[in-house]
Amino acid sequence: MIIMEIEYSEKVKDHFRNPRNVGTIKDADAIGRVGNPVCGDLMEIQLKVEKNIIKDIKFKTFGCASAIATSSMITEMAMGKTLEEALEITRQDVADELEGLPPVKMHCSNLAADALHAAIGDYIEKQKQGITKLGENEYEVAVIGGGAAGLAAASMSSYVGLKTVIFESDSWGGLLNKFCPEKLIENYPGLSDKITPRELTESMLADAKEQEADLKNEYVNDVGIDGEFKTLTTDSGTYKAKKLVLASGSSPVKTGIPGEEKFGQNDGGVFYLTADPSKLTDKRVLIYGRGYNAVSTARCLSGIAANITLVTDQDSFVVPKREMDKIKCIESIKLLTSTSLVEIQGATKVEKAMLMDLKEDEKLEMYIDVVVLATEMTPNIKLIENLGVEMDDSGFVKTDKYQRTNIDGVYAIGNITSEIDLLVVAEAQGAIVAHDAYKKLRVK
Amino acid sequence: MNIVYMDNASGAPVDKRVIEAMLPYFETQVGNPASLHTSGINARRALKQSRESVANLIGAQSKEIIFTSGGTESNNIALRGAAHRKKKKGNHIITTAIEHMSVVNTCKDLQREGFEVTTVPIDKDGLVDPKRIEHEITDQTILISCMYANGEIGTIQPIAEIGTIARDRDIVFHVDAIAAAGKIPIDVQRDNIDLLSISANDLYGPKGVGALYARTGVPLRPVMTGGGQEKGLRSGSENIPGIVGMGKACELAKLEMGTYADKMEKLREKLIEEILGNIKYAYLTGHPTRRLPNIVSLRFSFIEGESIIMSLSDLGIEASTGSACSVKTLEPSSVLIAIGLRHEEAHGSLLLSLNKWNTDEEVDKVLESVPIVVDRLRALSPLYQGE
Repeated sequence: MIIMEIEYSEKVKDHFRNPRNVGTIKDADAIGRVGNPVCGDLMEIQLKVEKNIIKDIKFKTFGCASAIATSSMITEMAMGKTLEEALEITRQDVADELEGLPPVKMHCSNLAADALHAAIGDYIEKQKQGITKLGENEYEVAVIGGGAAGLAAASMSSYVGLKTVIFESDSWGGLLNKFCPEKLIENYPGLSDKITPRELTESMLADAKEQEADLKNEYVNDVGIDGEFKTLTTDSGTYKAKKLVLASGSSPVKTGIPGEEKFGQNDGGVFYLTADPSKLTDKRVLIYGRGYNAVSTARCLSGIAANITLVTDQDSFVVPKREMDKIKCIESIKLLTSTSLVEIQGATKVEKAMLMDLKEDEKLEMYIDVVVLATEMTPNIKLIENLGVEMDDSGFVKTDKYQRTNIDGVYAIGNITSEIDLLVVAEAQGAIVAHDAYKKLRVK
Repeated sequence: MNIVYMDNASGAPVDKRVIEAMLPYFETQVGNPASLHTSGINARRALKQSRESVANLIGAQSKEIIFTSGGTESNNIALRGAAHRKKKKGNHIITTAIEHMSVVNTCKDLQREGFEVTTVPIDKDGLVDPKRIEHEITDQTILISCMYANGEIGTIQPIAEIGTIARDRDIVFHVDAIAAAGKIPIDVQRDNIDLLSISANDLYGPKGVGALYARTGVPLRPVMTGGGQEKGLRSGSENIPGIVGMGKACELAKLEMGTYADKMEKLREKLIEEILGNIKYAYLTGHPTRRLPNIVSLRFSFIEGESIIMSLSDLGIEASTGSACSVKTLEPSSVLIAIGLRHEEAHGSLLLSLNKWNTDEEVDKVLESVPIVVDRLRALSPLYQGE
């Protein structure tokens, strides 16, 4: 082995043993990489630039003692300089600061200067292209609503590398928490009878966190548009995002039935959603509705409630036959079709329901403790009305096949877009948004 | 700080007994073997004894040994000397990709003089395939040169087989045994070797002296001309102290080789096992079992050799590397490239070469220090995605 004599100055040795400014910068403004591991040298320099001044500079180097020392030295020399001043630093300057380098090692100092200049070049190029650096409260994608649709969108968006934030004012998972969260999901291809809504929520939440989406349990009280950004305001401040995803879901429609208001609060006995079935233990329950929500709530509560009367004002429930077959097998569920709920009565709590048999045109009285109004759901669009988002005839947000609304950069997914109300659909729509946002923001 | 010296392949300590044997020839027994007086006679005697010791070590006859200034010179005399003597018969030389620079560059020079040189490749462990050498033989082939074992990656070559092939075809077979002599037993008869180079320092003798074995009947042309010493093959007043040192070193090696080889092998295995076991992306270079007892040749991904050596040096450990940054030519070690490493892999090489005195404690210190060095350099490296 022909080793050459390398006599390094004390300064070089110092910078080799105690290199300054090693590492990387989170959200660096610019990166310069020169050299080639084949040749035995690779230097990477990262910059943070503010008002044309190098506020922070860090390096990582693969190479000999000289390479490491020159990288370290140049970061010291460049720190705090303007970009112009930094561009003037030459390899000779670096070598001089190090009190000399063996001649054959001068190429290492060349590399350090090149890496710095490359980083500065990268910064200037980015400025030219108008790639605005995102600040702390600035994102590429913001999602309003942390239900299944929103969580899916946030996870997928983060997964493809877009800086994402998601807001949820109530509990993560949205409606997943509100319909018998401990009962196995039934209509999810591939996962039917395998997972409960609560487990799915936990899993989706974990996913979003792992993909490093920013999760904020805050209420968005205003949205607007500011140039290329959409703005969102919460109590904690204002946020900006290049793309906005509306996933605020749906809420039960008030029926207007007398007694609904009176008993609809403070556990008065009127519920819309069965978030906590245990509250209905041993109660006499009346479920009033027309479709799947009513029927599945009945099944959910069987075994918990003392007895269940499942009531619809139509001839039958609008559900697949197998759902009704399941109901008919359950003793504790009594079915009343073509019967409307006229009034809910009681002193301080629900005590009685007044019904009308529509076929016989007869009144009916039932003594009950709880009324579950498993009615229609309506999209939560109050917040977005002032955005000027176009709706369809049914009152849902209109979207194209990529979930885009009429406003550029604004998407809508989940229950605000249709009455379908299926998990798989909500999640799929979230994924579609991520796909489209990625295309728009990353693929030139 | 006590230095742990593990760069013995570059330069090794001289055994005290060797120094003792040499001393008189510096101070009092200072005669020239060519002189007629007593001092001359004593010098001649010392020369004769040393020659016998060298011959003994390798199974040769005393008259077949000449002394040189070291391994490089021995290789030069062997290659140039044999090639020129045989050039009427042919002009083709076969060598291998694992040879030392003194063989490589001498062959290059012979090429410039009109000889044809074929370099046979080695496998990923550094082994030469005798059949591959055989395949290259033509009716113009006059010389084959293949080293006994490589001092950079430790691999021991199938010398006897190559020797048989050469003997069968009446081709002169030269073996550079500089790294191997004194570490593993060599028998030039058994192995059909015609020319053999050795160096004293690798045997714990003094630097600047070596020997060349030339089988009776294998003619050589001298490289250096002058007063005709060493059968005319190596003129110049003999370096008696050095030669005496070499003789003594060979004598001791013959006696103690087995014991020390065992000792070094145990330390070698401890180093290899524990370093590879404790550090990720660390690899052995060279053959795992056909290996010299004193060579621990490793490489580490994502970091560079000169940095490794300088950092180890700061911790009191001295070793070597095959990295490009440490060499004048800025090319990584040709041996590492020849075993198929990519350049960036070759850059992260660490070569620890033991001596017969290294201790368990020293090995422990190395085992403590290497991970620290590797971790520090990986933290600096843009290639390492930290874990």
